[in-house]
Amino acid sequence: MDSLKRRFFSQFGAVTAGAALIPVVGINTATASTAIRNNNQPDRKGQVGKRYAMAVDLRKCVGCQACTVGCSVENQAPIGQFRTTVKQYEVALDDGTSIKQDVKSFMLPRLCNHCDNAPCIKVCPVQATFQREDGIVMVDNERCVACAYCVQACPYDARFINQDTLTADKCTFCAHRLEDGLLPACVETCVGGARVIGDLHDPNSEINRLLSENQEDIKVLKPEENTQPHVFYIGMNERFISHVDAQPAIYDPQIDTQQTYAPQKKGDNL
Amino acid sequence: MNITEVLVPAQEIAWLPWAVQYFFYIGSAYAAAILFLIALIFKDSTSHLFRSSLVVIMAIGAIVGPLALTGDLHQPGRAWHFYAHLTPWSWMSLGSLFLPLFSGLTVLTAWLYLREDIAQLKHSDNPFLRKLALLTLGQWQVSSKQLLIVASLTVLSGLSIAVYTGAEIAVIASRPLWNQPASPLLWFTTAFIAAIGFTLLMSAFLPSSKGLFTACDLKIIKNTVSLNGVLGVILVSIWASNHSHFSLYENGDWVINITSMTAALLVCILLSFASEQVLNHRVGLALMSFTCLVCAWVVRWVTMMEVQTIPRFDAGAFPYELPMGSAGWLGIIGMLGLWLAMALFASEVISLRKNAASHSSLSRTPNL
Repeated sequence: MDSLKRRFFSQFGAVTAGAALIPVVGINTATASTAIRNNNQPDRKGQVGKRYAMAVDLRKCVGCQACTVGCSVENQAPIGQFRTTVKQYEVALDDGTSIKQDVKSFMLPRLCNHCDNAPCIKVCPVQATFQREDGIVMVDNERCVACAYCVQACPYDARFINQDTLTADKCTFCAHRLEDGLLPACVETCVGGARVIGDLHDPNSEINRLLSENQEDIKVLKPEENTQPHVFYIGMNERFISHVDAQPAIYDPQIDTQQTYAPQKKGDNL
Repeated sequence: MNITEVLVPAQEIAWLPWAVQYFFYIGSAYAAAILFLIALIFKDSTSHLFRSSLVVIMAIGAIVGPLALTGDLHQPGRAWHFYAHLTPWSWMSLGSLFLPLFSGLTVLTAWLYLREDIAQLKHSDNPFLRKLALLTLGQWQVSSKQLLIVASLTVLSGLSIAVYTGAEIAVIASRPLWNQPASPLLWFTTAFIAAIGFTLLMSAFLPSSKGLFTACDLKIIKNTVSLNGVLGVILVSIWASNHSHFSLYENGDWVINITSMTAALLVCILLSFASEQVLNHRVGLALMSFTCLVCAWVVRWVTMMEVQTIPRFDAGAFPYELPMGSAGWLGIIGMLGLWLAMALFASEVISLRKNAASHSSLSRTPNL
């Protein structure tokens, strides 16, 4: 259906008269992409002219979770629900010999990717979620019916139904802070300076400098989904891009209480 | 390279068991609409019992289903937002237009078909039921042709539900098991099994008489179950092999899930070959009904709830336990209770007609 719709609109766009209809159906014509942004209302524009993005320099992340705590304090997400968090993995290198290698850690800060072609926006049945002109994907939680369609559509697990507000919730790049000239809480609290936010349209921005300096080493999550994510990772191992082939963590809280702090079955790796 | 997850928060289930119930009841409704039309076309060989069971479970499913759906909204009080902010490019928004139309049409069809029976209520001993006879809204008649047209419109509307519910989930690219043609087809085929299960359950509420169903009724029941059962078994195997990074057949829990779906379908197929005596016997009928309902339920449970426990990025399956409250057992039992209550009430209308005097209070053509 999506490709059908895209074809329909692209053919429609060829006809000049069609251009008048496009804003009616909520398609933003400013970009070449046919991504649906739902941002026709004036209060959904954000900081026009900018395009916010984040670069995460994994070489500097120590997995201290200061960003997780900073975000929780700033945005008051319910306990156990996170707009951003740092996933941690234990990596044992194996060169084929029987000599046991040193165990390394891999930290992967996760947050909303503020995609240019966000699958969460197009599924929303009431246009509660939208993308501002500055690229930030937001949720109008007074309109949201909390059908959780967007939660399902997001390939990055970035969204959740907030247990307190009972509406869809997600990272906003701390838009309220950016508008006041402040950095997002996670960037502010990052002890290693691993998170850098900035305007991609500003050639002198720190993020543009960082991205051009490391252009050989920049990856995004799940590029195959064609979502055009705008959180860029520097120093990312390719095994963590699309799907992690790992030993799963123990999630079950009942097991946790029964075996509190006991080593896992594969404990000799720990 | 060996990777072990150390700190990965589990993703919660976002679509609750309410979604399974919606798909279960609305599926039985649209499949019943199709079967009812078939039974109506062959009305000379099908029984009034079979047709009225179908038409009643169609209307009940189309009422109970949407109620379950609003339960899946975490903000049910905001359901009107669907109409205040129509979004034609979202399947869910289209569904908010299709669904009330379908529910309305099913009630209309059921009412038109059962007007004859409703009129008979004026012979009832119960004063309340006698008042219900007024629901015929007059003495006018509906011709067979008019009824066929309304039933056909209901079928078209039912197909819009089948298309939108299937497409709504199949467009979700982030979940490979949903994002494939096999998933909507699986829900569509097993919807017929649910419809047969509910029809048999409904007919069990009606007064016993020798030979409940005609040969043609039984043929429709058996062929529907065996055909959709076979298609279901094929579709389950296609469905289960279409995950890019998670091999269902190598995971113990998923082997159980796939086996349960396949086994339930196979038992349905097996029972569909039972002799007519078995199906016309209360025990056989109850067994068939129960198996069909469990089968359609299990298929929806696995394909909708269990799929949500497969991580999109991380390794292991996320934990999920069915809670006791309204988002779990209570909701499931409550909705089944509502269905049963409505079915029992509807059975009062149909049963009276069977026992009533031969004279018709509405028409010169007593058997619609």
